[in-house]
Amino acid sequence: MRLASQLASGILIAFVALLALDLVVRGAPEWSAGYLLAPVREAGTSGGIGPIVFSTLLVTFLATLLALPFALGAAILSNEVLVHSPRLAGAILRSFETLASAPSVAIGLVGWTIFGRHLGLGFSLLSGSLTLAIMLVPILAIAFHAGLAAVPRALRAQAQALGVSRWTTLVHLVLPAAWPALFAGLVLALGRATAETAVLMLTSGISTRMPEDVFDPGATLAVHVYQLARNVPGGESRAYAAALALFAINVAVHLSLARLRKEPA
Amino acid sequence: MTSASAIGAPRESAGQRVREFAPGWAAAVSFGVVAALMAPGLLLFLVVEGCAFLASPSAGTLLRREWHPMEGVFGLIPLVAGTLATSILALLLALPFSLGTALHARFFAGKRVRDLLEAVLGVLGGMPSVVFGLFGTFWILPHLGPSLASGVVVLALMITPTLALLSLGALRQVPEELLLDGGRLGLRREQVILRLALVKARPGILAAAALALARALGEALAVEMVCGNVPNLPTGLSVPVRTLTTTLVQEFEYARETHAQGLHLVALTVVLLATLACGLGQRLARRGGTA
Repeated sequence: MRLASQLASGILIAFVALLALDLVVRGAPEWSAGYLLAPVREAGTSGGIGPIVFSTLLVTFLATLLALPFALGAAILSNEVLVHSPRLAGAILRSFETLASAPSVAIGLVGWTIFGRHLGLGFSLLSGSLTLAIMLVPILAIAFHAGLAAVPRALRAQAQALGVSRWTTLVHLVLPAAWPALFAGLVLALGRATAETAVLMLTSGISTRMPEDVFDPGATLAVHVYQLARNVPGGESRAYAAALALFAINVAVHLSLARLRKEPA
Repeated sequence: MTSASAIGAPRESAGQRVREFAPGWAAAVSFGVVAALMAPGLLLFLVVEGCAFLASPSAGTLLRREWHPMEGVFGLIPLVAGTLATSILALLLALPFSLGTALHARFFAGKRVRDLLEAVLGVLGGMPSVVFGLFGTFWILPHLGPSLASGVVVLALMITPTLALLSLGALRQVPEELLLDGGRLGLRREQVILRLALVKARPGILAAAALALARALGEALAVEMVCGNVPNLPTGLSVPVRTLTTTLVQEFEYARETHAQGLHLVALTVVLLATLACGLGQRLARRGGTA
């Protein structure tokens, strides 16, 4: 059994090493100077990924910004307001767990139908950000809820015994105390946002041109990798180059999360 | 529990009324309520669109074994079968590797190897699914072709980190004292692991499997890149198949009217399958927690 389990983890490590090596060997040679900033040429078979990086940053930023108030409101609602109705608070949490486990492509389809077709946004960065925000709300809300719940109840009671209002307690004591956990949730959501492909392919589109405003379409990194690998003849090594950027982001997110979780809150 | 929540929001007596910032609470609560309504809203939207499809003349074709939207035939059977076949087989393939890795990290590895394994699983778990699809395109497709088998391998790779990390978590929850007692009673290490640790952690491991299954059921693009995308019944490993999710990716853009409604029904089906798997997982996990 020891041998079998050693074999299993050995194979896993070998696979990850192969994957990382593959990405570097095929992807890195394509990283010419200015690759991250230069415009995309010939559907991605030459040039850089400047517009893609721009679209990725914009969509991720906008979606997170849109999702934040809803997620924070939900965490405050379930943790600070509904203290006397744990059942209702539990139901809200379960609704987030359901939404978080929903296949992202289904969220993408609903976003495409509502924002893209009914509201006439078509494929656009705005439609992508709105839909991605719906995907991020439950992820953020679950993390924020856990962060607020970890702040001792006694802190709130002490503040109130001193005549501090519950709002002041929340804003000046509870939220700062929960900040490391809230920040970790934010990093987690940013990681999920940059990794997401299906939602954005259905909403912000596959265009590789530099978007002029939020009503223009724009492919994000993950969508670009998919397009190069699947729909652009001769795009293979270029797909690896863009995937290497995704891989780097993923490792950075993982490392910062590991560090955040180790730090005492 | 009741005393804690009583401390959380003390009744205000007339003498010590504290001024609250009402607009702040109102804003937080209204944003929170909207957020909480997102999941039911999404489900409702899919149900309404799906019902519109059921009211259309094409509804009678749902149980056919063909999916030809252009000819008005919307048989879900090959798509559901494709989804279940890829996901369940992927789970079966991933299980021994994940469980082996979890057991190794928990019982056999030194601290260094354990940390390495956890870091590797963490990075792999957050990896965008297109990277798995890309890997599959160049390492698996040339050998297995666009087929059920390729889809299974790519999905298995993708869910392995989830499965291994959650199983490791379940194994960690088994009290050390129980395992030591087993050793004191003269059980060999293998017996302690097989008869005590694995049995005790079984609900947690089953929960991990259910959650990994939910992830596999809902994955779209990584599978789409390798599975062949022909709506066949999965009668063999080398058959090109198509899943519910890949159908959405391929047809959403040009689908109109009945076809578009049919796609929402497809989305509803996959959401329900994933929710079912996820709910099962949570129930198992809760049972594991109280056992």
